[in-house]
Amino acid sequence: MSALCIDRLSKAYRLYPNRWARLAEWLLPGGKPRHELKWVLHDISFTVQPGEALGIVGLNGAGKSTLLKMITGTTQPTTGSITTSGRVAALLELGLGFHPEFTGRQNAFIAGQLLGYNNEEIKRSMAQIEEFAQIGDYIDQPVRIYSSGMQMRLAFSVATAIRPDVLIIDEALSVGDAYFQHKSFERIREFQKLGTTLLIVSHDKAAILSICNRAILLNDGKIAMQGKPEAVLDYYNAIQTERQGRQITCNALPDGQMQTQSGSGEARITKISLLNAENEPITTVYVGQPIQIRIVVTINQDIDSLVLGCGVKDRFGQMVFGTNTYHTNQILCDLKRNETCVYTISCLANLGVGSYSIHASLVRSHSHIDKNYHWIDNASIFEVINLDKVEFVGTLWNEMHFQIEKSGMQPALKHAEPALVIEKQASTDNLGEKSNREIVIVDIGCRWGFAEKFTRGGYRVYGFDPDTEECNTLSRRYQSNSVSIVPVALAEGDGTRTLHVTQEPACSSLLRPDPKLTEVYPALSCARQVSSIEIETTSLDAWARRSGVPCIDFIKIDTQGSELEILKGATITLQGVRCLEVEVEFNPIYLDQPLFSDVDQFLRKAGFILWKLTNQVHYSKEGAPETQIGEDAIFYDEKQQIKHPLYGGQLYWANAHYINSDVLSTPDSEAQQLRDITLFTTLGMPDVVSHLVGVT
Amino acid sequence: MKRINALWTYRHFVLSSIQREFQSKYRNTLLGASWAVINPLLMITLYTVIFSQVMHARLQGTSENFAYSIYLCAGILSWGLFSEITSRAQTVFLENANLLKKINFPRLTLPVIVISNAAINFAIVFGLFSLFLLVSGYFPGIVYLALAPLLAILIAMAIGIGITLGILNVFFRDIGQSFGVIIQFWFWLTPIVYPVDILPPQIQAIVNLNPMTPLLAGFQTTLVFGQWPNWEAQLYPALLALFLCGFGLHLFRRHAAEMIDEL
Repeated sequence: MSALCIDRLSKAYRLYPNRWARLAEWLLPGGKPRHELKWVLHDISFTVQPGEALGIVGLNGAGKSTLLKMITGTTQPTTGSITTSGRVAALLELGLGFHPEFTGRQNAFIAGQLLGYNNEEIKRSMAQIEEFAQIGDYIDQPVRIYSSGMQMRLAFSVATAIRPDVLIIDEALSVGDAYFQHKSFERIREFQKLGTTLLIVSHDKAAILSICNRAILLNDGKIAMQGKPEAVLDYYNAIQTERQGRQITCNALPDGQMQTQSGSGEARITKISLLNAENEPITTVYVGQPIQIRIVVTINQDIDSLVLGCGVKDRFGQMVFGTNTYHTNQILCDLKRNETCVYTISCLANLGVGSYSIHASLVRSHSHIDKNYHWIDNASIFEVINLDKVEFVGTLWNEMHFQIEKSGMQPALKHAEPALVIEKQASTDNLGEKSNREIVIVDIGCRWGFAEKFTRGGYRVYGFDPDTEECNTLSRRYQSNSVSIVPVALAEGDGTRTLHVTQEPACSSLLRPDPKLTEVYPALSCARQVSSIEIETTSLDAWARRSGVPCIDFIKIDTQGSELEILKGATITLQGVRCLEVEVEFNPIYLDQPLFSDVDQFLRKAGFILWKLTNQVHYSKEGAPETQIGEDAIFYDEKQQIKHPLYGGQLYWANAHYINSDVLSTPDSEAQQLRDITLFTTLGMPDVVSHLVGVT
Repeated sequence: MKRINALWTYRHFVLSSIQREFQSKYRNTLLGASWAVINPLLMITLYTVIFSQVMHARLQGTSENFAYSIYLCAGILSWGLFSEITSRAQTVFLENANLLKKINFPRLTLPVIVISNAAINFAIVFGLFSLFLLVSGYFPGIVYLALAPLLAILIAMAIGIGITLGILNVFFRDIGQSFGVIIQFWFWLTPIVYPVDILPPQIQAIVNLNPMTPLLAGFQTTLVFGQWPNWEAQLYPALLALFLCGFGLHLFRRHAAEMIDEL
């Protein structure tokens, strides 16, 4: 369900030639209309989902305010409809309805009532309003002695005291001082996280870029463009400079980003390249690398003056840095047709990890308003990666030195020793040298292949599957010395067992599928038995002894019910295993199958601890779930809560990730620690890695 | 019904707006809310003491000392309520233009606030007047109850006219310009200061077309002579009041949206 649905909305104001015409229209019989309609909005349609933030931009008079007023409900649309769900609150004009002679508290009450809160709600929120507005004892003073900032703060606090379902913000974000602005942003973001839909009209591009998921550009009462905020704002910029109707183009780049170009064309940028210090083209840049941006400009018509502007924008379209040749006193003068200029800009890529784009523009003098020859946003996109710097956040790299002084019994520490940590992080890239041996991965039930991440260097992978045909296919796919496919069925020990082959071969099991189940859950028909064959089994311990595999670091088991048997046959091997991923069932699919609790008990006794459950699979009678039945939440550290929709069905299986409790205690050797860091990095468990890095 | 519900939801807003308007009148005065009593007290004193004792004004057909004073008060006080409601209501939408344009709230709360404020002012002054009647022995007794339906008709008529003019005033500001003069004319064309029988019979016929004439006559009969008013004569103002309320609401429904655009 969408929070806001706007359907073919149009608005016209009645325009009478004079005041008498209206009177005539009202009074004279016949009802002939004597007005013209002045359309300010035409055929606007869009929907906004709960929790989405939509930015609305446009030149003055484009119809933004009218649109917001209609959504607020003060103005009625001429045609079309607006459907909103829940409470709509608008921060259109803060402090409206405040009476100067009354105290802040009294005004807060009235303003709240005007917003439709009842007295109980306001009383309950009063403490929080006071606290948020931070006006202290002034709350009981008449509003006339407030500074304008205080009035705004109070008004904002009241207007946002109760979370609305749709919040409309019209240029109201720049309230108060920098600190309060920050706070109000936080509050708006928090609302958004809790599901409030935001509609923001602002000329503050930074605000739109940082909050909105989507933006709409209104021009002459129509939606001129809608899409990602970065693309829309680039286009808007172009419109602002190109009001004389010159050409603007918008191209989708291969990676889905939008590139906006505009300009009158007297001079054109014909090539932009990103080079390293050795003049080789690059698309990936490491933090702090010296880079060069080379821009080739062709002059199409004689021009008297040319300024090149160049900068780097982050993925939100915010300029990280940039300047132009006007500021560096390098304006080129009197250029003739067909001349070519090559600009080379050198700088250090002191950027944070992420994706960036190059912006370049050719203008006549210092600003693009004067004369804009050519303007390109998102010209060249590059990635910044961190090779040799400590891990950091943000869009800017800056060396930070921590000096730590500790008071107490011990002498003060002058330097925290980061050397070891840095060395370890760096070592993830060149593993094998220090970690002494390859990391051994065992995938039991490897039908459909391995994760890509294990087939790179540094790993030795063994895959087990009882289906010989599947094993042959996999062997052909992985023609690598580091991958072995073993067509062996694993169980607790050597012997002959029946393999119950099911409709979907991946569901085949050493246990018999519960025939009743498929009747209840249509989606479980994959586990319907179609035939059975006799197969030889062995245990992992026996196989490892015979094959000379002394040590296994990671085991993944996905074997439809026989996981406990396999684990029981691997008690020796398990002692060295650092991490396990086991598909476990919570409700039986096969007759007499061990469930999660059995596996869990066994692994705990073997010294493993459960780290997380992923890929929880639910089945419902109706097949695929259609309607959301509620909401569930995941809590992190009790403070952070992430909500997700909940659908029906019964929990059947999930992947249980276990780690050896030794991993979290002091490592045996540095080599072991390095292997662990590498392994858990590859497994995508950076939380465990940070644990490991912390253990020094 | 939806509108009534919306009004109910915003009852707290209505209540505190009334309170705020009342308070703001007496903010920064030394005597505070006592002015709400002092002013009407002085007015009643003026009408009663000055007219009866100083000017010896007499009402035809009675020999009572205070008869004319009571006649005057009955007319002026109820006319005061009527004119306060109409004159406030005809500017209410213009005065609150900013609020109406920016905040979505039930617009009918505004006339409700106007009526309530006028009613409070009237209650104070009329309460004092009733007290005077009690003290001076002119209290009409059980007939006093007749005032309730009369007031209801008066308020309905006032708000009917007020809302109609309030809406029209948004589109045609001439209404606001002419209102002050017209209400003055109306006041003098209604037998308030003078009794109706001093007029020549032809003129009386015309004056009787004025719906306020029978209505105010009701107040006067009740308070001066202690008699039940002529109920049949109230039919005309009552029906007119009902019609005006209906017309005002109809106008409001039809032009509310356009009104916001025009403000």
